[in-house]
Amino acid sequence: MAEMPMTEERKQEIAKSLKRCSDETLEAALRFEESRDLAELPAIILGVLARDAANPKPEGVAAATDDCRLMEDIGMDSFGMIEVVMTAEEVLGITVANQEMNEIRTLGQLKSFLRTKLAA
Amino acid sequence: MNRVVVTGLGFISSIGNNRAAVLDSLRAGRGGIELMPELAAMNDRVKLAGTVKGFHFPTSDPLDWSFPENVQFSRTQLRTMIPNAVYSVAAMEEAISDAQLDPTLVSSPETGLYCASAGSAWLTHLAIESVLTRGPARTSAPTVVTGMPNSLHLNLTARFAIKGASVAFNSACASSSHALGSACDLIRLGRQKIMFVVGAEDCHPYNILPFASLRALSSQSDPALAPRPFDVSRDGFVITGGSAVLVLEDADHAAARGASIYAEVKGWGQASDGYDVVAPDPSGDGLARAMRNALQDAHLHVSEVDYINAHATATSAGDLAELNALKSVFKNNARPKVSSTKAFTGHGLSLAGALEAAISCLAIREGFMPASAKIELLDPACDGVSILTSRCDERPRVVMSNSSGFGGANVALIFAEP
Repeated sequence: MAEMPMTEERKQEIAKSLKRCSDETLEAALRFEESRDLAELPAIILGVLARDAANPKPEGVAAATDDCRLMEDIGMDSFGMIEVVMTAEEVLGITVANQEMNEIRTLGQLKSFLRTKLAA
Repeated sequence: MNRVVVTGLGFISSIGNNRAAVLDSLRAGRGGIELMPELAAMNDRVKLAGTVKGFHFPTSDPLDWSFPENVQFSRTQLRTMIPNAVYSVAAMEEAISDAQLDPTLVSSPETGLYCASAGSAWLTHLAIESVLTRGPARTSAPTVVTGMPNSLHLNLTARFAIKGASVAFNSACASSSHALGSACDLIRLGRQKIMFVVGAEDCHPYNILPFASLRALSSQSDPALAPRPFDVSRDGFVITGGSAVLVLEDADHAAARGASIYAEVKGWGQASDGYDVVAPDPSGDGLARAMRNALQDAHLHVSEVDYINAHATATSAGDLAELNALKSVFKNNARPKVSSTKAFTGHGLSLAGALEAAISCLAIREGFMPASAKIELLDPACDGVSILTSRCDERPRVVMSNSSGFGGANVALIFAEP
């Protein structure tokens, strides 16, 4: 259900926001930009968390489940969370208020928050 | 009052990235000044810098930076780093190892850190530019930290888990000498057992070019000709970056753990010109009072000073003011040897005091007095002052290190053989 083709400029913007994320993350984000298919969301989120985790666990972010806490279990810190929110705003085209950000504690909460935002 | 000694040194400098390399350069008379192509390409006034070798900062993204192999950072540690803090982390690690401080002594309520840098003009500029053009929501959060003038302080206290006193000093080119003197006082008063003293600066066109606007920098393109402190043809200073670290320690504490001692910090003095925003008082009165205050603090007579590491940056006005100050303090038979090691290193601004204090400690430990290099024709104003135009292989027992900053802030530090 692509509404209009993505401009080269927008493509570059997304690539810049996802600098140093895996190729799979960037591909998922580019597909999402065209399709707005929420099924792409988990790959994008996990890719950005993997990039920005200050103290990543040895088993990696990919294995994280929805009940994992972003700080304690996934290894995010305050700077990393701000980076994740900024990337989400840029790549997904949403706006996140400070208070909304502060209420997100787990991976599941992050996913459902973004789904709700995108559905709105 | 407790006695204070120096038990460790660390260097990232234009003349070497460790103590042995710095010592070798000073002994061999090898300078660190070179043509800086990216600087020369940006302007028509200044081309030389005391470059720091082996460190590269091609973009503002820390993951694009490269360092010598022994300098390691995690991605998380790099997020908030600025170039001068990178240099300082490396110099801190050398100083900690040199002083044989175990982690419990580094991160202890009895150990503090006083530091000085002017911040990273480059990253401050980019931080402001980003919030103004992209907006706050599109500006990476760590740029707040990398843009702050005391970014060095924030980064070092976190990285080394400093638990004692910590302050960032900012008195222009006297900054890290103020830091050292103040750190010495804390130990004398029994408030800390160990103090790290850190001076650091970026070596980037953004922190060099503003001084060219002041016409304070040499316009030479031949490193053999600049900077030339005390030479009649001197035409200004050459800026350098890097970091120098000294470990100051309570003498009894150092003795109890069997630490090796470079020198005793005998005393220090400070005084201000009360004269002008940038120009030094031509009489040198402020610096002379700083030197007298230091001698009084150290309970030393002028005749006991063997060597002075001068501030002398190679500006016409600055060198003349310092010569007048030296002549007014050291009279009759008091004729200490004088050199400015800035001819080798360049002028480190906030770093200068700590770098030259560390060089002074090396001179005492290694038994030599470094030359005032590049002098072809000594300024006749040096008459009555014993400028060392070549290295002197005598051990100085007492060394004074001078610093003067814009605003007329003057500091004299005195070190003596232990």
